[in-house]
Amino acid sequence: MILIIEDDLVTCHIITALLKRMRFSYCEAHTGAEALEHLRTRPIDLVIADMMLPDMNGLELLEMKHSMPHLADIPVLCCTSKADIETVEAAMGFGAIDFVKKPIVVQTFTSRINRAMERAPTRWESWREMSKRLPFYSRTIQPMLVIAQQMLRELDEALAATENVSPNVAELNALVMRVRGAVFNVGALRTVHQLDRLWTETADKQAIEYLRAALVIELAAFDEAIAARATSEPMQAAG
Amino acid sequence: MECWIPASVKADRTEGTFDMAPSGAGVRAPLPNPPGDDLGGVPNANTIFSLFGKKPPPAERSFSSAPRSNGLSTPPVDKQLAAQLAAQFDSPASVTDETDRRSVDLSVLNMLRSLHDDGDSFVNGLVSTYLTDTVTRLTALRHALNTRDAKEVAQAAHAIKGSSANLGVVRMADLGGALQGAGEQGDFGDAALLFAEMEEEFSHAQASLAEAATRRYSAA
Repeated sequence: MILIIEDDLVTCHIITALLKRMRFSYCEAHTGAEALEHLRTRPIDLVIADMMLPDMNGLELLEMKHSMPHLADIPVLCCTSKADIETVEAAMGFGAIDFVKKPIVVQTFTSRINRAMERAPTRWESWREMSKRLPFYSRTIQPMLVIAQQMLRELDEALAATENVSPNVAELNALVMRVRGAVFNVGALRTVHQLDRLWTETADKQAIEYLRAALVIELAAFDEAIAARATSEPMQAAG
Repeated sequence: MECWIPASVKADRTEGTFDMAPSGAGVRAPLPNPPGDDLGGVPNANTIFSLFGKKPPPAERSFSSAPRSNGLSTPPVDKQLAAQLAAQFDSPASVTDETDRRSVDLSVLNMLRSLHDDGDSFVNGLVSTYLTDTVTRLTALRHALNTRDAKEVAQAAHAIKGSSANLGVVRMADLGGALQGAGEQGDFGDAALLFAEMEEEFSHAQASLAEAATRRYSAA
């Protein structure tokens, strides 16, 4: 999902029309605060950001995003009419990968979005790969997604419980490994990646905090995947 | 086994991405059981793999035991790439002689029409949004000039510049850029002159946009 951060409605409508035509899913934010809320709660793969927003400037927003480790690797495509070298360098330090000059030129913008999406973290293993790995993929993926999501919830509850009681580190590590296996099995590559990079064997408070923040988004991604699979045509079983 | 899912959900055709429509009424969707098992309870990863007669993937990593200070390291900024990206903002947007004389660059409107199956309705919607927004912003600009709020002048002018440029309303975009500069420098004398020019130009732009829409319909 692509997050569009743009306060000008005309520009926002043009970008959304372009993304629809490119068959990308998207959500919109018109202020920095709205953008941060989307980033905290939805599975965002790429951010297209205006550099001048009513409540904060683009650099402030990028800095806030970058300070949250579970969001730091989401690439940002900056879309602006004016930028100097200092702004570009600072933005790149906070995760910007490209700058597109306004006004929007459809052909240029399309190719830059495609290029930026290549840098986006892979959220799900492709259907083709999944079908090769799991012969009964088409019939069984739905319940497996539900089970994996339930395990993610249990992990979140276990991590939440550590706020009041000191954690049993060995149990938590074992639970994280079990959850990792379950989400790996359903091809949730982004969830696996987040577990790998945010969790530490010492189960320190910071790791727990970061992982819980990431789990909010991963659970939302599972919600969307389960719902989408339930309404899509069943795939033919491979093999 | 059943699960509760929202009804208004559609799958994006892009492989591996999903789009959830605004929540609506739910439907109860039956889920097929996997072969030979009813999945009672929540099994661990080994149980899931055993359903398919396959072994689970090996433990590919052990989690780091080192405590984290600030999460992630930041890669060094590619200064050469930054300079290349910044260079595109040095050159002013080129306008043809023809668009120099006109309020609206028609080629931009045609490009925007191509974005949508119903291009005329799409562009008309954009124009309508633009006109409404610009009226509001001109009011804000007048108020900012009266109260000598330089920051607000620059912000409102910047907004007019951006939306005008994206819709091909070239003169308004130019005036917006100039007015933004005057606001940033706190030059209220210059800003007042530019504002008067902008108000006059906006009435021309309205007429040109209406004419552009009419011409398109008659051509069709």
